[in-house]
Amino acid sequence: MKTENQALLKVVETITAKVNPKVRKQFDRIVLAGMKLMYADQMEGYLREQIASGPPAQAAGQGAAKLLGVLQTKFNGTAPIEAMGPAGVVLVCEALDVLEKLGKAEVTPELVAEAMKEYSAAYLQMLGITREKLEGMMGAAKQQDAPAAQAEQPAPSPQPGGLPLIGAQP
Amino acid sequence: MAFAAVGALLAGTASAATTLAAIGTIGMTMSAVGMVTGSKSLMKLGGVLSLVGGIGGMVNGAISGGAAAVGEAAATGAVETMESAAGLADAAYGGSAAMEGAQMAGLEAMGGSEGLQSAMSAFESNDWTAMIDEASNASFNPMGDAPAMPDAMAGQVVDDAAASAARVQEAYKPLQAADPMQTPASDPTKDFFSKPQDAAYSPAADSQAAYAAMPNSGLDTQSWFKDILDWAKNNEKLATSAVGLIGGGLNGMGQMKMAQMKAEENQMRFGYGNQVANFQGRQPGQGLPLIGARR
Repeated sequence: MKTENQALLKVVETITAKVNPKVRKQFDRIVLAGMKLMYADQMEGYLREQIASGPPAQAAGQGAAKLLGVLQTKFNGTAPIEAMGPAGVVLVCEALDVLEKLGKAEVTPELVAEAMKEYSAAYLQMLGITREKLEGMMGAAKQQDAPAAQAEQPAPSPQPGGLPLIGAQP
Repeated sequence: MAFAAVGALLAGTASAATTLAAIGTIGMTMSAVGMVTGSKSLMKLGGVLSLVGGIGGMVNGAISGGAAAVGEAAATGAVETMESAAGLADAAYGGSAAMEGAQMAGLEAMGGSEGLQSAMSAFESNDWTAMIDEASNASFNPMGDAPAMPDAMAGQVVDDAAASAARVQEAYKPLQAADPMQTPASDPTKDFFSKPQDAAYSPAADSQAAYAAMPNSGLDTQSWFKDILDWAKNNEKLATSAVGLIGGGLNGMGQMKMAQMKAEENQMRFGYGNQVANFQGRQPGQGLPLIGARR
């Protein structure tokens, strides 16, 4: 990304370095798709509305989460979370850079941190993660113990008559 | 409900593992950004989320009996062991294969033992409940409030459309040059994941509609964090596993890592010895033997 802001550059650099190499290519593509979407002509009106929707941190964080949401629906949920999450961080930084260049905000480390909180909460809520869902998940898992335990039987032991393992007790 | 479209799409397909992986991933990004920006509150929130994702994944793996996480042992046995923090701590020292598998899956979700240590580095306490309280307090008293948008700026238009288009072209160029499969079309999602695209597909229009369907505001970030943190604090399974992992597991993982390093070192020694023993000098008739070669 093209920015002079050192805080944003550092964040993007750090997050990019932390991306799992296995999904790096998808990460790059998601970032690019997000930027293209952000700057598409047809999205200009919505971009303006998003900027005016609230404080800079909220506008940038929630806007990035919504962009990811749109991309996620396009990918039919196949995009790996390991790539989507960090890609959203880069989009947040891009959004903050836009705000700074437009004179809407002064990007400081504090603002970046606040925007990240907004983005994280928005993105996880967008995935439908709520307290109720987590409670249902962990609670439901316990009820599956019995059939799951029956389905997962330990591997059969070797048949007698074969060579003993080295070190095995006679 | 906010973001209903995406939530509905994913609700049907998102397994517990995916959900917990998402929490863990976001937690790690928060921690990383927190470290860069120096925001303790972000680090604490991120730390708790990454622990919830990792430990939750570990617990879920053992309870649901997933073969990848549990290994050979019966899931019932793993659950019974999991119920006891002492058992979990014991297992951390290399107990049953089931526990090791579950722990490794959980640790891997957090980014390994380095990820776990990183997640915990921001906290003043190693106690699970205290850690959550720290994160909860931090989320409501962030380090430096973000400046509110002045009234005069509200409603102002984005007037730099030309610069925006140039920015996109600039960002697009390297990928165009590097990746011949990248289609320089207005469709940013085409060919991304090898999905067939309808010729009449107009992503910008669809995307516009999808974006418009999402509300601009209405999300209460602090309430959401508070809710999730409260759940994590009061969930017995999570708390028990966290106590065992943080208290005993870190130490156990440290010892396991040391044992692994020692094993690798021994392997290197034996490997070197084998190579030396297998060395053959020049065959007779091929000239003078090498100095030091065995006859």
